[in-house]
Amino acid sequence: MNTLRRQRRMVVTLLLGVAVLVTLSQHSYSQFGIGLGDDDGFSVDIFQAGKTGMSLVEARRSFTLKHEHYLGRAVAANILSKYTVYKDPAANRYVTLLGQTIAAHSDMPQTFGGYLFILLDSDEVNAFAAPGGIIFITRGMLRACENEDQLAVVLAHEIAHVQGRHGIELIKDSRWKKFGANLGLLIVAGVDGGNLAPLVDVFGDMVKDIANEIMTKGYGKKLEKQADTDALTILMRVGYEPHESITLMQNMQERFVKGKKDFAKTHPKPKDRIKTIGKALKGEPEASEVPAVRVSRFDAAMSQARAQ
Amino acid sequence: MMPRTVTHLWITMIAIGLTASVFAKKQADKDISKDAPPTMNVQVNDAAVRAAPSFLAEVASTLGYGDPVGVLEKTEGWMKVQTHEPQAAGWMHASALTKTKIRLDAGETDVNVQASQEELTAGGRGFNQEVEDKFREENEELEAAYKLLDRLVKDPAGQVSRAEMIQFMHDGTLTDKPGGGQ
Repeated sequence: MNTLRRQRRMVVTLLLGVAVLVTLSQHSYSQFGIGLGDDDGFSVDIFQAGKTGMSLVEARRSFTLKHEHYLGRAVAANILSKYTVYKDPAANRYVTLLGQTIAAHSDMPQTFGGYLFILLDSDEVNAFAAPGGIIFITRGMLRACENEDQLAVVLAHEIAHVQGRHGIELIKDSRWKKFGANLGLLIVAGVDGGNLAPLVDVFGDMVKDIANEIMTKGYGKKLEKQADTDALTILMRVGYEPHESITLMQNMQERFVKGKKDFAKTHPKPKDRIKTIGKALKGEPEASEVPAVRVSRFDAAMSQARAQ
Repeated sequence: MMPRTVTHLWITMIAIGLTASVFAKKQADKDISKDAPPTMNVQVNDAAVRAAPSFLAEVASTLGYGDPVGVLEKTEGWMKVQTHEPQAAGWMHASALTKTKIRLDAGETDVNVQASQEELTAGGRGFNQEVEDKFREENEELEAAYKLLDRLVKDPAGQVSRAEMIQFMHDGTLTDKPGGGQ
């Protein structure tokens, strides 16, 4: 009788314990699991990250569009500090109309701060995309284009880097470790608490990583190839002639000056890019001529900008 | 003998009651999620809610960073959403939305966002205006470039209205094929 009662008491205690645990666990998850996540619903427990360091993949994926926006502004400021902006209202307005139209048809029509297209007064044949959508095109690049469809190719390629968030890929692994750890500490410290300086340092390091790479080496073979094929998809959505990509590459090959700091250094060889584009265009309608209106309005807007 | 049995009875009943309430809550949560559309949050500034799933469609309203919406329907690249203020339905591009609850910076507290206290405390830490300001203080050589950038961002010549985009596409005999942001 005594043993039976003890057993019963044990069962009751166990039941009660389980009930309490279930109730508690439900609350603790929703209240303390502060996560940073992205659109796949992926989330990182930031306290865990603060203690153990976020995995590189976690830290990378926890990067919001807002984080990217501030990083992109700093990268853009770096580019602006090394180049002169080309002031030409007609050319600027035309590139803005063209660029915003293409961006609106991309897979990321809206970024945190919006797209912006800036012309640079430089003879280099070059174009850059800072994270978040600030895009630069040199006068040298404008000269390499023969019509609107070819300029659309250049802009769609840069927009493809933005929509693919390729800038983030240029950040060194060591920065992500620091970012995860310092962000964790700041979140634990709460609003206005904690030491901001280490995070500002990581910010500066990330900016250097991206700015140096895109100005001297580009996004690397794999991402450049990705941008070339993604650009074709975007161009065809808007109705541009995708085969103009190939004509543009051929023109650029002729314009390349060996050892010069430009597209030749920051992009794969035009010969290889033509191959990639040709493969991607298999099965698409044959090349057709660019409508006269897209040659004439390009010429009109670019008359000053393309002059030597 | 008797009091002890009564105590046991009470404890058993409490245990059963607690377990039942937990299951009832779970069931209730399930029922709510079945009826209410799944919530997503705006992850860009000034996100347009449009009359149709196209970037050339009219803008019905504009939402701010962190605003929640209910997702009613999905098509390629677009989501039909229910907005809370104003109470209306419209289309947003999927890339402007995230499942993650967006946390606001201190001082950006938006009464429309029902964020818990914990979330507001963590709010906005990371790369934000505060970090940019400190970075600019430490990198004076970039200050002129930052000022120039701010001027360019604010210049209306850098933006294109819906009507201007439609005109530009029409004049250039550009087509509008499905997919992406259109």
